[in-house]
Amino acid sequence: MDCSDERIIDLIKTAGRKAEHQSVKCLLKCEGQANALLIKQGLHDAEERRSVFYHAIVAFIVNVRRGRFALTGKAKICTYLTETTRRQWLKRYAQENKPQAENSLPDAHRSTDSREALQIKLRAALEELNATDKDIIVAFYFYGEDLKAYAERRQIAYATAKKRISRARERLKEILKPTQQ
Amino acid sequence: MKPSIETLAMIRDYARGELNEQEMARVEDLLAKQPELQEEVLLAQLLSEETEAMEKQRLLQVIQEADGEAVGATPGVPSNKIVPLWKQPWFRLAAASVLLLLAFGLFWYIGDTPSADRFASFREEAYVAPPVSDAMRSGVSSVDWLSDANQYLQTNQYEQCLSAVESIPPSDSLYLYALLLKGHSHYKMQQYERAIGAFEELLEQPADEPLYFSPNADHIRWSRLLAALAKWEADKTPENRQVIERLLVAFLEQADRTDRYYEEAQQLQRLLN
Repeated sequence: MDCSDERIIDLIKTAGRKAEHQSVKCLLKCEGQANALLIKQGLHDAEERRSVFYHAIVAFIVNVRRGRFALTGKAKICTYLTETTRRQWLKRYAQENKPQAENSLPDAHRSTDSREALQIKLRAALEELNATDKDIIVAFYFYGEDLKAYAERRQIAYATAKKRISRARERLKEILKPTQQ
Repeated sequence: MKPSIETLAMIRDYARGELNEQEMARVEDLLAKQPELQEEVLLAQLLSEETEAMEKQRLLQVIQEADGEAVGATPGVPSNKIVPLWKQPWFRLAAASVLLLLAFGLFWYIGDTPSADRFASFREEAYVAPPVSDAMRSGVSSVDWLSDANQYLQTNQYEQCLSAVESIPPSDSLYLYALLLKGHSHYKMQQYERAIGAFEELLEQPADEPLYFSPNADHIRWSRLLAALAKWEADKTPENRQVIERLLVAFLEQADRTDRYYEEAQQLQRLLN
């Protein structure tokens, strides 16, 4: 399997599960390098190391798809991924050791109750969408992908992409309506 | 009035705090003029957060699966591996096969024959030109030959296309793309048996062969299916029909469910039923 840096980036950007799966398999080959650094940082729990590494891969894929990673020809992907893993670990470590004071106030989150209710409803609504509608909503709202680029990547007409996102949004709004009133 | 895609994209970026001062001022001006768009800001914020959680969870599962294939069970991330029976690939395949067989059985029993025109127009709409642009950016030695061959195909000069692809040797990294164009040329020349042969030769190549740039597998399988459909249209024997059934079931099982080909295959299934 070709796991050159260029190929990994291509695979991550290519539509389809097979390409995504292949890119992940390539990225998993960087685990040894990332592990060595985490052990150096004092993380000796193998399960946690793996979990941190997985989250680093997620962060890397998201960065590539959002256009926030560019191959410079100098840094190798494994080096970048190892650094991302280290940052993930530091972030997790900081969160785990954060003081819990604000959570002791029982009314602290009351003002966000209706928003949370909306969020729960939206989560359920997203789950109800079919695969194609979900795919375009994720591409547009999470990856911030331009609809024309999406249509090109998915090999569909721009008009179809427009229709698809409009249909998906209508469905979501329909499900959310009673809560919003 | 429904907001345009451009407005939605701007509101999305605004909700995510990704705009510069000038762009932010423009959106705020728009929101002041059209207060109903406030609803879109909230929706964009919520969708950004929810799709992030959903997509990250999905990616974690993909990673876990890929890692599981490589090194066995992995304990790193909490597992959601209990898959309902109806989501099992073998169950779907079996159900699809039974449904197809029932549908085809009924079809033959009634003795009805769908009009050839419907299939021909379906094929015309469902035909996808070979996606060679990526290969032409990546390949080295025979990129000009491939470019010429593709040009011939696009301009309906199929014999010339075949001659051009013959110039690309099996040792070339673009050889698989040459085979793809060969299959498409034969298809366009209504030489369906030869087209199927070329597509099958392509599919016989080992996956992820490092020597070659590989065309999209769904594209190849879909092109083969269209060629088989055309062959059946020309000669409606039960054997040819069985080939389509078999290829369609296999296609629906293997294809990426989010791409265009899968949608087309579902449509073909409905048409055949």
